Amino acid sequence: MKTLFTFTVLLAALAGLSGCQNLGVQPWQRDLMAKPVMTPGAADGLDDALDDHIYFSKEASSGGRGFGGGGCGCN
Amino acid sequence: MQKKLDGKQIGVGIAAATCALLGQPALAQGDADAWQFDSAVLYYSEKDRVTAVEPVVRGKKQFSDDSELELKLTLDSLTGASHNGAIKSDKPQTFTSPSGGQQYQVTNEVPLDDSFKDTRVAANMQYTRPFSRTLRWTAGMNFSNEYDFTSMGLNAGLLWDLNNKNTTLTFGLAHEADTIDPVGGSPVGLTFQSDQQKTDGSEDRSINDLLFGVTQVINRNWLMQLNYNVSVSDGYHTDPYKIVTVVGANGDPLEAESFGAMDIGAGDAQIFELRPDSRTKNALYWENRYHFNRDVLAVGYRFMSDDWGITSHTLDVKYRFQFDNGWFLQPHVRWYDQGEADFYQESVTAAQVGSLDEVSADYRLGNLTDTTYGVKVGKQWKNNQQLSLRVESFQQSGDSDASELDALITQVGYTFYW
Repeated sequence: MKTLFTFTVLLAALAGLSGCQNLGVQPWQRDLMAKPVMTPGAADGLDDALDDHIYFSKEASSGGRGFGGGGCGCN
Repeated sequence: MQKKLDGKQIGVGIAAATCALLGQPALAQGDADAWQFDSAVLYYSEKDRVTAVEPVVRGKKQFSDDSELELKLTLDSLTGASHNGAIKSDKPQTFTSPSGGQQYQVTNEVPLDDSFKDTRVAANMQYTRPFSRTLRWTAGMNFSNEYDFTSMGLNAGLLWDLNNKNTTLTFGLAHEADTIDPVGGSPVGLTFQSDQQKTDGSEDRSINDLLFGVTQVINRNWLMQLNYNVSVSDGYHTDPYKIVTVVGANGDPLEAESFGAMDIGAGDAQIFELRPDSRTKNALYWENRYHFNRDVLAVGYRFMSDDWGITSHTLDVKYRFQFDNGWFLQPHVRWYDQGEADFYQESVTAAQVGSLDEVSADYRLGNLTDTTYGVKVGKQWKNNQQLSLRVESFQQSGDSDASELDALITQVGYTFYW
């Protein structure tokens, strides 16, 4: 039920975002967005992947930034 | 040589590996024929506990049809000691090593099992290819292996660009199959450790993940991402090397023989933990990136809740001071807070023995507040080579003595093109 609720909220948020054609930039204004430092998951090279695994091993949470699966026996 | 799952602090797992599904950055330079290599060595060291050294190399190549291949190899070497689950007591406690071959006694300290050592190898592959001008598909696989654990996974996803590429929708699915083969066999949950009731053969777990994400360019300086991830896991979730102390009214550890179990020494009333055989996690993640004149601020927040009763909040903030000559300085702060699992107990009472369905004293399932702060310094050259160093301090604190942990995270990274 909770999952369904979350999903509905997310869909609503998505619908909102998709409808926001006023947001964003023209192709010639993408100079900053084109930089790796503005790309989620790529801005800091391998740091995110290493961090996700450290914290996956030491805390009860995972996922969000990517899939929440396991991949190690640590939890 | 014994294996402690809780010792496997580091390694690159599916959670990390499949992050590649999101983002999917274009290569950062113009040389279309070159492979981009990101390499790093992580040194992770906990005070009095685990030390890990982990080299990683990732190669990425973009082909002329705009498809992209990514390969990653990770090695992970672990040594040190990890908490066995028992309470800290001023009375002696007697434990059996995971292999069942040895006994050890601990008094006045957080009980640690100091006899493990492990090496882990992980490989990941991800391929992304456009269907059309606005639609890409991606597929990947991953494998990891260590002494008592093997994991294999597959993932697939779609990335859909809308609104003049200002909005990107991501949809991903992943499946993972894990095999757990505990040293000395799988303990029968909730039985006394001194009796060494174990079953031969391996245990299994399967995990199915769904990920849905929206990345939105707000304006020239500001990018926002919102992800929802549900992860359903079935099978063996128990940590086969963790126990729970049975205590008397005064909080002291009791004796196994008073419950009809084998006597191996003082304070030996320790039962094997047992966790539920399924778990469903829901996570919402919200990331913002803002580009000032030169500097960049990145703020990530995650809310997670699961059907074990755990909820958590994670806040991650990075600020990159970018200098003219290619140097950058990036302070990082992370804050994490979690509430305990329904079946978490630091210890159990004599009356609870025989009446519990599940219990774990693993501090990682208890109330926990973590803070990480540190800094990264790096230099990028004209040819896009980059060298960086980060040093961070990680601290955990919770309700139990075992949860008090200090660690140092050090990482050297080097990016080059070949």
